[in-house]
Amino acid sequence: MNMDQMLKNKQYKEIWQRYCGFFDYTIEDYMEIQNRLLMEQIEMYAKCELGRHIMGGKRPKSVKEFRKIVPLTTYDDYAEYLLPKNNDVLPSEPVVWIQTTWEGGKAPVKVAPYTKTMISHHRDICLTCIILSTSKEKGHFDLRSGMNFLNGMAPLPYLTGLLPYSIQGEYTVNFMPSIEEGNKMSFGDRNKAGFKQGLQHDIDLFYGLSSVIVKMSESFVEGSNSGTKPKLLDFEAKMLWRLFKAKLRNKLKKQPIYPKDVFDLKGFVCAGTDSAHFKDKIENYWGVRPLEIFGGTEATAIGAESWSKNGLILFPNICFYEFIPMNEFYKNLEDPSYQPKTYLMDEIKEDESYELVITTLKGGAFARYRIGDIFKCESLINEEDKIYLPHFRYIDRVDPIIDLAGFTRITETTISTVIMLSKLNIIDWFAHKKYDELKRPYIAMYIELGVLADGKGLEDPELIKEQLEIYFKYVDSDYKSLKKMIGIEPLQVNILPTGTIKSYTDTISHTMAKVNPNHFDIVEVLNRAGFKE
Amino acid sequence: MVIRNIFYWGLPLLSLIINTFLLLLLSLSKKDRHIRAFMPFIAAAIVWSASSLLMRLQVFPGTLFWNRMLVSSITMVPFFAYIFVSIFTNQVRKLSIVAWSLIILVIHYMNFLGLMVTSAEMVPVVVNGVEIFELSYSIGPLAAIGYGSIFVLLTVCLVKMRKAFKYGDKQSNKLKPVLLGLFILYVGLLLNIVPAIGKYPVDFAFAIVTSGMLMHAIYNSRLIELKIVVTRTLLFTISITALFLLVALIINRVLSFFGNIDTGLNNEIFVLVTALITIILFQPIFSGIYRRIDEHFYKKQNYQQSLIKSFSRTVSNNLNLDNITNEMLQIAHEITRNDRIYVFFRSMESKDYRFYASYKKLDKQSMEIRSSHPFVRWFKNNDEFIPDEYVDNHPFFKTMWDSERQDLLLMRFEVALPLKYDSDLIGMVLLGHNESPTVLSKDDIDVLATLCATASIAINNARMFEKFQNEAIMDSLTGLYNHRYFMDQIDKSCQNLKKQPVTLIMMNIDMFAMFNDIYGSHAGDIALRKIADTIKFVCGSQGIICRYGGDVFAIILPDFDTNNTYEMAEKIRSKVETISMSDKNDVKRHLTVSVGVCVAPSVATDAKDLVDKTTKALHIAKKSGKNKSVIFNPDQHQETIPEEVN
Repeated sequence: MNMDQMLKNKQYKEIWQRYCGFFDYTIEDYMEIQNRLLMEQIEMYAKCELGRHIMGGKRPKSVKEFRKIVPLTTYDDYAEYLLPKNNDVLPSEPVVWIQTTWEGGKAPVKVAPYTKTMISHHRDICLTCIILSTSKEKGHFDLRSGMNFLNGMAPLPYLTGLLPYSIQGEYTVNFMPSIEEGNKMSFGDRNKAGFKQGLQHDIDLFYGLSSVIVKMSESFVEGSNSGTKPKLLDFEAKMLWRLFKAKLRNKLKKQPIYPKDVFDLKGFVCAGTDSAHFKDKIENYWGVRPLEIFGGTEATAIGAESWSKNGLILFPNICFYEFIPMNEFYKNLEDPSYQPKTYLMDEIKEDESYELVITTLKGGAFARYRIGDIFKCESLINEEDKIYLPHFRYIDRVDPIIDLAGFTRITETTISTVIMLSKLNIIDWFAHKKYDELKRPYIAMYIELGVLADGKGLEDPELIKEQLEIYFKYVDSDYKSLKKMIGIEPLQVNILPTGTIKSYTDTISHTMAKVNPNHFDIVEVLNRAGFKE
Repeated sequence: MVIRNIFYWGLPLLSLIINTFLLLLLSLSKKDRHIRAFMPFIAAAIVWSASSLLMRLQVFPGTLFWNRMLVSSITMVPFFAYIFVSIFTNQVRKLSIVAWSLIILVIHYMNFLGLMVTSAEMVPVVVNGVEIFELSYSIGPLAAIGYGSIFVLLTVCLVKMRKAFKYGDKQSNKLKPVLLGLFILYVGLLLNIVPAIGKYPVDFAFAIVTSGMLMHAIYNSRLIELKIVVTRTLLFTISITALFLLVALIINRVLSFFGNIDTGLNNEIFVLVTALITIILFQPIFSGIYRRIDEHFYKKQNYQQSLIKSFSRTVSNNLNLDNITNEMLQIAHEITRNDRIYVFFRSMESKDYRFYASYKKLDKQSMEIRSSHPFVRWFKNNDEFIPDEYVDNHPFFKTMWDSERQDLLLMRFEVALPLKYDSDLIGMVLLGHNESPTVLSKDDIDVLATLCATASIAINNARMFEKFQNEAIMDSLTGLYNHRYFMDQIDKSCQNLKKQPVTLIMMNIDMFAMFNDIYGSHAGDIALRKIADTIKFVCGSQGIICRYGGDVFAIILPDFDTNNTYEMAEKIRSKVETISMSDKNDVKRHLTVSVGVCVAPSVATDAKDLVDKTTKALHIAKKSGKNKSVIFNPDQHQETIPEEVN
């Protein structure tokens, strides 16, 4: 029986058990699933060429042996096997290949194979997230078939594009715009078209990138004050009534029209880095607290918040999880040959941050793979909700990458390329991610300029910023959309006195990273330069 | 006149009785949402027929009042039908229900204002010299609106049904007789617009047809699942109440008959005596009714229980595992009418659960249930059965591997039950979906669970017996038969030497004592196991392989000739020569064997002679250089064997 039929039969308990039953697991149940499914994966993995390559031809007989034998991996270890999309080397035949940009990589994109079972698990996760987004307490949710679903995410071959296809046949929603129409549109046009249809027919469910949602909401509020007149005949009666009420309130009380005044949203799913910074705003605009989820191309969707929306819980049957504590992370950063220690879900500590390492299950391609994301374990249990599993908060991508609102990722290579192309006489630099007063992320770049032979040079930070942005847009296509889609000024340039950085690095034994350096390194350099951070 | 009375009174009365019976049936059954939705519909029909009767009887407060009640109930019947159809086809629209409720309320209001029926009275008429009362009424201006609304409502019901059927809800077809019945009913109602026809209960004739169609829908099409809950208590209460009423009537008659005669007994004692007689009479009557009900409603349960009892008796003295398992499968088949029943037992060596037997002899399962399988974990923690929907839906089964799911899919898994003895999971019974569309009921599974619980004890005893039996005849180190078994088998094999020749191979490990001294007894044990494995590998299922003693092995080969036996002996010998006796890949240790072969009856005369001569041949092999096979030749090999062969 699919979810449509279960909803029709009002089998709400069964639905909750099927999709959200894992909240009742103890940590022992959780680890049982992790360990057993890893053994299944090892069996499949050992039989294929990719697996033999990663595991050095060995066949571990236990989880412990697996963690001992198999080194931590990055996409470089898989590139030659996966980029050609050769099914023969894989543990299980893929149904679809998902891709994402490979920041700082040998190729423009990374690809990951998805097997039939992975897709069916992805379907279950999507439904779990949809259910939880409408849930206010355990066992409760507000769903029916045929709801209006605004899907503001990228289509295939990106991971987010899998959702409409994976839930097909299981749960019927009215996508706005339809999948076929949406696939023909750009990201921006798709969001606009979906929003427009939402205005006419209401939106029940919304899935989008947090930063984009905030921008759209702001535009909506601004638009409500602009006096634009929609074509009323296109609207459903209930939407007309709501618009009328909202307009009336706007006129009488001079209050802006918020999306919550017009839309009766049941559930909101948001994703993207920096989601934590946007959730309060989204709730303020829409009247519904968004449910944050986490996923990645290599891992699939692996975590979601519970009904209390206060921390991510990782799904036990999707990937096998290991956690690198930060002290081990930095050791490895200093010495790339050092193999950092990892800990399992039942070994981590509260209030500690970790880099996540995943082994995909059910025939996936990745083993002990560092996906490049940092999480903080907020709590090991949630007594109030009676969930006895660790809750996480997403922190950010690993230090050498600046992720701007989930839209684009800037690496050292990107910045170096931009500097080179700009032909500006920048002799040294570093950059790190900061947030403005509206909690929007941007790159704070600190540069040192060389002195030209004729003593002349470009010294205006704004002009330098403009010059650099020309090449940022050239090197990174997503950078172009940042201002338009999210409304942020992504770059701030600060000029340091020449020689400041070197004068500091000469005094330290470790290497100061160019992108997202250690906080104290930044403080020290800025102190030397006479800046206040 | 009689026919007129039957028509005039009988029709509404019959309609009332039928609908009351239906309502009683529904109220006695286990209620689900469909039954709960259907009951108001029947209740409205009862009110309608009761109103008609009370109207004709001119019961207080009067004909007009009951006529208006009748009209109101006529509108309620299609309204409740609409609600029932909406729920049945899962097309409940709250807004529509509210809208129709309002319309019906308006119709009621118009009715009670007298706008639907302006007047109604029972008018005396003389028919064939007899004064009778006939209904006389006049339709109001808004009656057409009322009727129109009802027909629109019925049409909506039909449309809903069509829509449900179109979108794959085949259950909705069961509504056809109900809807047809309703239309028939309302054709009858339409006739009420003509007062000349309406004064007669013509509509009730149509109503009885409708009730008939409902009954047909319920029973034949199984429109709603009726599970009559006739408890013994309820039966007892009804029986004693009916009997007491009857006896009260009899006492009353008796008292009035004897009232004029002086019995010498006062009334109280007379009543007491009569009551006593009632109780004495009650017992056999109650037993009779109880037995009939039991036979009718509990036939299936009684049959199943008798099967379990019969099984318990059969297996109580049986220690043969095959017999017990077959009996259990037979009973399970009788209970479930399913022939896809499979039994898995835990392996003594690996602790995994392996297929043992199935109801259909040729329907073997190659799947193995690992000791880490979620089924095993589930049954270790609780005794509840595992239905197929748990595999995909229950969070406990998220640990299941894809290959395990595939195995279950291939066997068309329906339910699993544990075989537990003293909290130890000794096995499992798995059922696959049958060819027929019927699904196992909870009651059937409960009975199966009882069967499994009973069987577990017998199975455990049989397995223990088998284990001890094996231990008595097997050599624990090599897994071969032991000396005792060899002696037993060689005698048996040689009993009919005239018809069946027997050859014997005896082999002894060369320099084994020295091997033990150098490498230790543990290494010696490994060597013995490896040689035993080699012999098993070469012989396969041919012959009876035994560890004769120490480092001597014997193979009894019935119906083999000398040449074939010698070939086999040589194969074993040369294979043993090549394999390493160490369990480490990087350590090579080698041993050889010497082999003696003899045949009966051509050379040896009986079992003892066969053993002696084979041993002699072995001795000769040893003396003449070791690592060879020698066939006993009576012309050459006559010397006695020394005490120790090595």
